[in-house]
Amino acid sequence: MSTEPILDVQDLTVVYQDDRGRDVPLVEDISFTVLPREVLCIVGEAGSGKSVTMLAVMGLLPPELHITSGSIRYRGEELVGMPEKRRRALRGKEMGMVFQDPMTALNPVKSVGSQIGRALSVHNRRLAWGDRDQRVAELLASVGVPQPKRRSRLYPHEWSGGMRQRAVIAMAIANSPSLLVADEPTTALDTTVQAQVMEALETARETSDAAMVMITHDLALVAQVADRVAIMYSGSFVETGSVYEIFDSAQHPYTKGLLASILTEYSDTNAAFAIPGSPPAPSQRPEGCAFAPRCTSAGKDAACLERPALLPMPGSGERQRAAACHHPGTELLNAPYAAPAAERAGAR
Amino acid sequence: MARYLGRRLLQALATIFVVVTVTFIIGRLAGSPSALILGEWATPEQIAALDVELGFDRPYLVQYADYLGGLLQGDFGNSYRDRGTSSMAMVMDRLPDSLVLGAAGLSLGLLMAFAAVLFIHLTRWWPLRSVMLGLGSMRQSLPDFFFGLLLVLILSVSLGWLPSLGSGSLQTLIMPALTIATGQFIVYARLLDNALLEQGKHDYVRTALARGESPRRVVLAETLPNGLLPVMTVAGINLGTFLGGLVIVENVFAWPGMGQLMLTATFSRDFAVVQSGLIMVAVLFVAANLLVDFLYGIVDPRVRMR
Repeated sequence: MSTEPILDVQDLTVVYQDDRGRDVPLVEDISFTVLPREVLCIVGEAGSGKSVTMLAVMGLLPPELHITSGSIRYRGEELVGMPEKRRRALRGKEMGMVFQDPMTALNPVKSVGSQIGRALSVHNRRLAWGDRDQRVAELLASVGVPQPKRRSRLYPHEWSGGMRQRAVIAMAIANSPSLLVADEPTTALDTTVQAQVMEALETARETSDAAMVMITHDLALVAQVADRVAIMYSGSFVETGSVYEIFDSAQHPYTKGLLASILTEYSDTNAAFAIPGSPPAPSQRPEGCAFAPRCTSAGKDAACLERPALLPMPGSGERQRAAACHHPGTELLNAPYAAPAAERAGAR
Repeated sequence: MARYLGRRLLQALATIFVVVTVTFIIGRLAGSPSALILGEWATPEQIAALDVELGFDRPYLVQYADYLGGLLQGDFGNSYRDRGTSSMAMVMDRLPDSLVLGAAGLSLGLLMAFAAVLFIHLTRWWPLRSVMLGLGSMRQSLPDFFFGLLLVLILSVSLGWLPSLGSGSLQTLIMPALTIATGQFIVYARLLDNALLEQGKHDYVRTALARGESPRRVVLAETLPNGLLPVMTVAGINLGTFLGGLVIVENVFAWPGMGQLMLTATFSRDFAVVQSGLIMVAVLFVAANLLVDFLYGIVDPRVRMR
């Protein structure tokens, strides 16, 4: 796989300016690439910077957040500093986004069909109304919405949550984008419809031949759909690798902790393993390794007072396999069990 | 829909009934108008005779029943002063002038508010927003009658551009309409500005941007329709204050509308006219609120369901 990446993010830093005018970094020096048709899952706790990273890629950062350094290239074209007009032409056409909460993602006073139709007509001014409606119905049918013609005339409040998320997916893939960004697409849904919506998203992605970056904290979902995984903690990637590498031979103590927290039939106890403590607020990140205060690695020592770089692991393949730890691979002192993580998560 | 309209119509009738009853009670509490009508040289016998002629000697309940019975037959009672003339005819005679002034003032105010707020939000020229809200607050701190007098002082007395009072021409309409419009302007400008800012934070805005919409299009096609809802809600409530303000402005500029008629009628205890005027105000108020409800249904599909 030596194809040109669809998305190439290098040393991206996004900051938030606090009340006193100081820059608080939310995302620090993040680098990753996504190849065509590849699925990258970014995994991390709430507030780790996953959504901020992908909003920066989409160019949808709220006004109080700024990219201070780094580059984001889409098919080799630099997005940082690109004129807004050109950026808009890419957004929704080349890159589509699916949001977390389908209950609020649609405009309540416009029919669902008209909102999906806008995704088409905004990038194709000459599209006739009849063709547009026809295409909207096809899109809705392709994501599993029954009676798409009738339903497209209804308003969001007349749709269920799962159906609304399908509509958002239909909107995201309306122009067959090369890159899909999905920000926890099933988190806000009832568990009973999560799998169906995820299936619709996977089908839609395959039909439009798109690469996808999916933000999630559902490791079972990661095992199902990911080609590659990036583990994010406190604004930085702490470990990256293929889905097999991450699940079979996690190197970073945070990754190990996350995998150990999956409760399965292999668990020795009824209680899920919990990583002690909670992640620091962006303004209170420690000087050295951000994870050190919560780290239970047997190798923890004075070196952890320095910030570790995300270094390639020895013997890693063509794609980057890296961990940001001074003592990668060391066992956790309180690891509850030793069953293979991949089996536990039910990886494909 | 038919059931909904039927319910609203019943509510409207109930509102008007309450207005009729309350004004009737207040009118009787103020005592008989006979003495005032006949002047200070009238003898007690003359006053009693007029009381009998106007029906004020009868028990209140009988007067009330008689009045209600008349209303049902379309008889609103004759003016006490101008005894041959129906009070409602006098009100209807003044109504067009009030409607012209009210409509001119309100639509000018709304037009100014929408133009200013949309210009600011489309160009994102925020310093102008502070200027607009600042000037608006200054205008709001002045009562209508004082602002009206200021206009007269500047535009009529100092500059001599416009006649200070009267009616019948476009020039005489300008100052009273401007007084009403500027007062209404800041109410609606602030409302719409707030609504657009608040709507801008909603997730659907991000969805729209993510599919490639321009920020201007997002304001016009996404946040504006949502922002209209709170504006319309307050418009219905604000209408009462608006009609009250109309009475004051009509009197400041000697505009021969309903407000002027009602004020004169109140001073001379011509309660038949006051009552008819208030019924007309109530009808206008109820009709305008029905219109707001109707518009609400057009803009918000969630309301349409009822």
